[in-house]
Amino acid sequence: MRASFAIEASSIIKNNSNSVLLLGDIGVHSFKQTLETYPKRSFNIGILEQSMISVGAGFASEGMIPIIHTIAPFMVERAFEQIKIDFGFQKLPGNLVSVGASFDYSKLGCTHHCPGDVNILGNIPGIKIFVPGHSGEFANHFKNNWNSGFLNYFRLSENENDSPIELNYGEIKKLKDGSKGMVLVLGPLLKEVLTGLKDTNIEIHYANTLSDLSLDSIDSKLPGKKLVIVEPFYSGPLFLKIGEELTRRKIQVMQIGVPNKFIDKYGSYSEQLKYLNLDSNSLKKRILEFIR
Amino acid sequence: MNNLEDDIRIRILRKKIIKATMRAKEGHIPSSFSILDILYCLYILLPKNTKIDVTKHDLFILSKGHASLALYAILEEVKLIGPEWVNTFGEFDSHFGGHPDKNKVTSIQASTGSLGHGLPFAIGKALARRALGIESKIYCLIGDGELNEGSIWESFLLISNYNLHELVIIIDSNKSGDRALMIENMEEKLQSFNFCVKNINGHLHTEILESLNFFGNNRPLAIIANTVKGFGISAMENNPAWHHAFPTQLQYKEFMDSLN
Repeated sequence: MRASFAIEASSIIKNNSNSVLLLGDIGVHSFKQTLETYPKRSFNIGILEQSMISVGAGFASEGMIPIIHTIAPFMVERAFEQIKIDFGFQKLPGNLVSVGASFDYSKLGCTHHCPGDVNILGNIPGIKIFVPGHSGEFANHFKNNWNSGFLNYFRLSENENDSPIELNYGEIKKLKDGSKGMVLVLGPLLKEVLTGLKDTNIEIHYANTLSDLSLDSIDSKLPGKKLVIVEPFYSGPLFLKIGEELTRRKIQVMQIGVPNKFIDKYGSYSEQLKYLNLDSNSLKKRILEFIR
Repeated sequence: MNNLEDDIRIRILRKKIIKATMRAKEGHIPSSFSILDILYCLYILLPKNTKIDVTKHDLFILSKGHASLALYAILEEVKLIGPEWVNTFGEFDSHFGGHPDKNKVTSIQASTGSLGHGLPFAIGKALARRALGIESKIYCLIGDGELNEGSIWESFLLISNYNLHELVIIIDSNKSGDRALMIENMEEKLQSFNFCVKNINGHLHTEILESLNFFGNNRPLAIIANTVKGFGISAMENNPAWHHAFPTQLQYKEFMDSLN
């Protein structure tokens, strides 16, 4: 997805004189030509995330649209107050593009993990959150939304699904029919869910944005009145959007996400998926215990 | 000594600030009083073609947003806002709160309050104007206590690296940071960033205006304005108890009388 980001962001900087790129000393090599060609609108600003966010907001206050990029925890957790006030409270538009959440940098350890990014940013009124599961999905959303007038958060993953699924902001797509229950999965965990549930009688829906959902917008008869929400971060953000409606309709819900604990293991992304019970086999087992 | 006519006008502004605080039972009077002479020079005494006119290109960002009362007083004085701020300050539907809100008042450039935000925000504005080919001066006022914030030093690195000579950094050195983390040798520290540094009395208009004349020397200008917190009311001067306090009726009368 980082390669896709470099292509799309470079193209935006090239073709739009109101765009500006701020890199937190991450992904710099991919933007070498852009940085050289557009020095007044593209910067490797340095390793100073909180100021980078405020600088970006300053650009936005002058009518320019910033694209700000670094690794997820440094952008979201370290600089959260800058995002909240300088963009959120001041109602300024921009694009925060993170990489590495939740635990893509599995061998680098906890300091580079960020399974709480969406939960935290979801507290900022008006923010649009994109959780693409594939580079193609990222490219589509980025092209359509970078200049939307909103504060956007694009969550790039190093691990992606097998193929892109075309969705607009707020859309949910049914990928598989079923009559026993329903799974709604977000972003890059789709691959594990599809693999795990391929031989089951469970309906699968997919989303790659976190918007104000309504169950009416989902093409489903809500089979079994049982829903499993699978999120590639700490559980909760999606449920917050539809929890009230689910309760009113008496639908039982199970939430699966990254467990709320420090992942003090290294190894590969796949190994961590297994360790966290988020791999296809574990997901199948957990989901079938709920939807029998 | 300042011009008597200016001093009288500033006394009236101080009275308005005390009145607004008294009504609202809210406000940071001493921090507002320490920057009032600086704002008066920036908005009123600088020559017409150089003073701040936010309807044109130049900008002022109050990074230490808790001194918003001084900003409101000056904005009224230059008719960028009406007199209603005094009687509505801090009220439910007011545009004028304890910290400035740029989305409520068009002549306010940044919504500040949490320290350490205004200066990097000003850098973004300066770089944007470079990219857009707009020539302008951008003044950013920060507090000496605000210098504790890491983002301020990050900003100094950026200002130095990009030689943002469009920026004027004014430090309201009212010594409020001394009780926690004193910044020693401030002048030398700022000089190490290759700023043009002026160390002045922040209540003397001649010194303020003279220091601002150093703008345009192709280096960022940093002015250390040595001020007195609560300047103008002897009971408040350098008295931390007044940092975020409002006067009683009796104190209100005494303060108003002392400003006559």
